[in-house]
Amino acid sequence: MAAKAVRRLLSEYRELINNETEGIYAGPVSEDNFMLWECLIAGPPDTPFEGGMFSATLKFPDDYPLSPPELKFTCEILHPNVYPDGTVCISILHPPGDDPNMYESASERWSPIQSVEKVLLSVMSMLAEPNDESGANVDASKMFREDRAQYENIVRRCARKTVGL
Amino acid sequence: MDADFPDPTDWIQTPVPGLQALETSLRCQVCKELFTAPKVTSCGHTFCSLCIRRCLSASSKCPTCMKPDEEPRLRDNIVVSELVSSFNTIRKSLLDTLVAKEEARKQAEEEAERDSRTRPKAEKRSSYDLDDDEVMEDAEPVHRPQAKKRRRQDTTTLRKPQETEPPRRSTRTSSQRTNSRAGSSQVIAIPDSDDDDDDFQPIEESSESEFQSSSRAKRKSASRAPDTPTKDSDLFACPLCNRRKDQSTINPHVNRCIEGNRSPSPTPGPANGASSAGTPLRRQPATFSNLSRSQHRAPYTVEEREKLRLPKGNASLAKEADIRKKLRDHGIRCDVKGKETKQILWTRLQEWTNLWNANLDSDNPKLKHVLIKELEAYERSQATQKHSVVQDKDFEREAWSNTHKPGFDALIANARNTVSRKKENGTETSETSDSAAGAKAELNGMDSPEVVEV
Repeated sequence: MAAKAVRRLLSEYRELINNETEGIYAGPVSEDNFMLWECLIAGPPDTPFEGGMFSATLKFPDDYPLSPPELKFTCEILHPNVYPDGTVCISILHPPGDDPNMYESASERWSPIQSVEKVLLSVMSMLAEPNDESGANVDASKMFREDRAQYENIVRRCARKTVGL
Repeated sequence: MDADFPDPTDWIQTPVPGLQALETSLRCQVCKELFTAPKVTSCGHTFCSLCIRRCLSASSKCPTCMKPDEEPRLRDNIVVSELVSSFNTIRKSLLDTLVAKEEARKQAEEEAERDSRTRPKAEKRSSYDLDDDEVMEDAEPVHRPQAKKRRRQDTTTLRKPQETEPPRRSTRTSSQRTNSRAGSSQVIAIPDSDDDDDDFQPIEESSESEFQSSSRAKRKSASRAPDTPTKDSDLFACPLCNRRKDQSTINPHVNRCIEGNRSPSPTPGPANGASSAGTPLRRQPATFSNLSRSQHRAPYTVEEREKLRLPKGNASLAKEADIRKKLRDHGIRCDVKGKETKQILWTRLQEWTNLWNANLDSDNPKLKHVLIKELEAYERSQATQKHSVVQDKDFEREAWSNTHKPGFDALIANARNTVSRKKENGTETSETSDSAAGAKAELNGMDSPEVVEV
């Protein structure tokens, strides 16, 4: 493991546990692998996601923080910007070099000064405000645009499922 | 690991949590460590020399504001460098002092609370009835009147703080001062509860136990304060070390200074700060003190830096032979297997350039062989990418490999058979022997992801 990346992650972890941010919980899966974290993101209030606790894994590359981590939801979730396999498509997780969607401004993208906390906060706001122009999940985007009621119903069901209801 | 891992959040538990913000701004936003050889970009953001060089190699933008920037435009941030070095020297003692103070305060609070609960009961009971507290108090019968007396003295000195404050400043060191402040805040708290002497005792006792040294110092100063006014004007500065001594000690002190030049100059005030501005830069960070001297050299001068600085070069213009030559000139190995040798060598040269240039900026530069080792370690750390796979945390590798071992053994035996059969047939064997070797490797690396997917 990359010693530099591990030290940086250790620092971020201490920061996270000592200054808790509401709705965000994250930490390494095990003590011997700091490059893989699991996290919980609370569904933002006043959205269909409210009340849910969405679990995800964060996988850090060896050259972290030069390259962004990879975020993947491990629970069932319907969202226009989340691929069906759970991988999140959000500008903060894209390195500044490549712009697959050709619309993100550089300032929105990954930079070494971003952190786990900022990534998770961005994901939280992504849940609240989907960007249906860059559909990672085409069906969800279509449903979000055309049949909002059904979309919200499914999302509410997913949210209830995440807390075991 | 936590013990030797200082972090800004350490300050949250102290009485001055605002220090967290101070330390955060003394840390590089990329590596989250205290700045090492801080460099300021043309847009005004500061990073460690190595961090910003690596970032700019990856993408030529400032990590904070994304403005385009390049390495030659980086400048030393001398003030930050001095700040970090002086902060680093006081960090541990400052933290220890503050934590101790906070703990003492909590303990005193608990004690006061416990006392306020037990005291009324004790008063109602008859004098024959001894509870633990009273036994403890009676254990030091001689001590008690003293404590009372001292407390009164303290309150008298506290009532006229403006009279006692100046001599205190001049006669005591800063650590004593902080301690005595902690002690005096203790005493200030007392008049709030009651004016009756008896009520103060346990608190006085607790402060006696915790602030033994400080209250002793206080006692000393309190008794001395009225009759020995050691004003600043009564002190003479030693011509050699600038330390201020009183009349009786100045002569022996000057003699000692002349003989051994033993005493280092005191912390520079604003006047002589400018003359010694270079010294904090040269001070070695605490982390390096454990390393042997042979790994480091004296800091590079500005001229040396300019002369030795390695250029970045251009990936598309550079030829592989040139890259190899450059690496070999620095004594770095060039043995690269597989495809895209140029890419690998180029990355290696870039990382070497970053390490080398950042080392030139360091206050405590490492020798070349140490740097080469670091380069190798860095490459190794970057090569493990494929092993860090997302895996179920409950997955038991041991059990899994035990249950599936027969299957792998059979596979290996199978592969060996094929090889030997093909050898007998005299056909081309390279392909199958490869597969046999592969199977073997898989068994050796039982926990590798490929095996899991078989």
